Amino acid sequence: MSQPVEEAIKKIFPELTLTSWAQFPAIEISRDSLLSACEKLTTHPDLRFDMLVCLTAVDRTPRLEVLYHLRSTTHGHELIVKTELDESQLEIPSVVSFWKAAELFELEVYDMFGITFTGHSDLRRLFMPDDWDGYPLRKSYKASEVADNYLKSHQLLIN
Amino acid sequence: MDVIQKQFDDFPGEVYQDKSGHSSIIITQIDRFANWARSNSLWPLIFGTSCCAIEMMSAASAKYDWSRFGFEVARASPRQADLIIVAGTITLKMAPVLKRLYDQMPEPKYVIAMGACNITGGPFMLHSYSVVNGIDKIVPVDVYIPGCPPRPEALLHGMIKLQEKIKNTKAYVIEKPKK
Ligand code: SF4
Repeated sequence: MSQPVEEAIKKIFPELTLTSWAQFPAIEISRDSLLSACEKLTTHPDLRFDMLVCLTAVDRTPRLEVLYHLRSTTHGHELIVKTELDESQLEIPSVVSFWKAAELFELEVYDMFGITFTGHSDLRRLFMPDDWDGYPLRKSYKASEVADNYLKSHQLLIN
Repeated sequence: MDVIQKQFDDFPGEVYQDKSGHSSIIITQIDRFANWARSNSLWPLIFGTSCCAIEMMSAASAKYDWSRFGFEVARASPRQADLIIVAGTITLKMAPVLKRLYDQMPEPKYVIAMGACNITGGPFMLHSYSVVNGIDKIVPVDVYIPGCPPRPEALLHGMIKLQEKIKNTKAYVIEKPKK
């Protein structure tokens, strides 16, 4: 079943291939064109994605994916936007200027995956302690070693 | 003086009373007497970090009622408590807090590790970046209560075991449990 949002996406982004993931339509946008695409996604009258439901990342070593789940409260349609990053260059422009909700989401992704959001005003550790070593949700992360080192460096271990 | 011996089941020693009932004599050992007093009046610290805490609250409530065994005075300050029931997952961020609370408690002090999380890390044992795998890494534990979560009966059983343990130690020598 073709939904109106899919027609609109095809019309507005003719260069992108529209796939679907679970029941949602999905598009993949390169890092460089992310901001201009977000501009169209939020302002175009046929799209009006005014709500960022979720911003998350997936580690598919050696690449990392950043996922934006968008919803339009005027039209009621949804879309997933994917951006792929190379492990050697984990930088992506922040989308806080389009969706205020991205502020905390980006902090979380930075905390867990180490992806730097350029343009975010206050990028810092959100859940993990400030002196934490590494990014826990990366596939290459050795969780138990880091945990033991943390206890040791804070002098919490007995005998 | 004419005295008669009184019978008390749980008192560790002999109690005598004279005919008039005004003066009594107790013959006991100071260790046994102190331990008897101590073990029947353990003041637990209110410290629950996740789901196991719900079972701990239930054990304190009317249905299970741990005051029957002398635990009713739950304190919110570690300075006034002598038992810490660690009920719930201890994360690495919480570990310094647990350690500080334990250090702030006056001697003699006891620790109960309630639930799988506190014994080995439980459901978070493997590949977890955030959970302490067993609180006995950071504080000495007296009684371990397995379960996820343990039922209130299990908690009461563990606390009664702790009382037994206290009754069998030297009262004025602080013995830290060995790992
Ligand atoms: S042992 Fe089970 S019930 Fe208790 S805190 Fe851990 S996960 Fe929750």
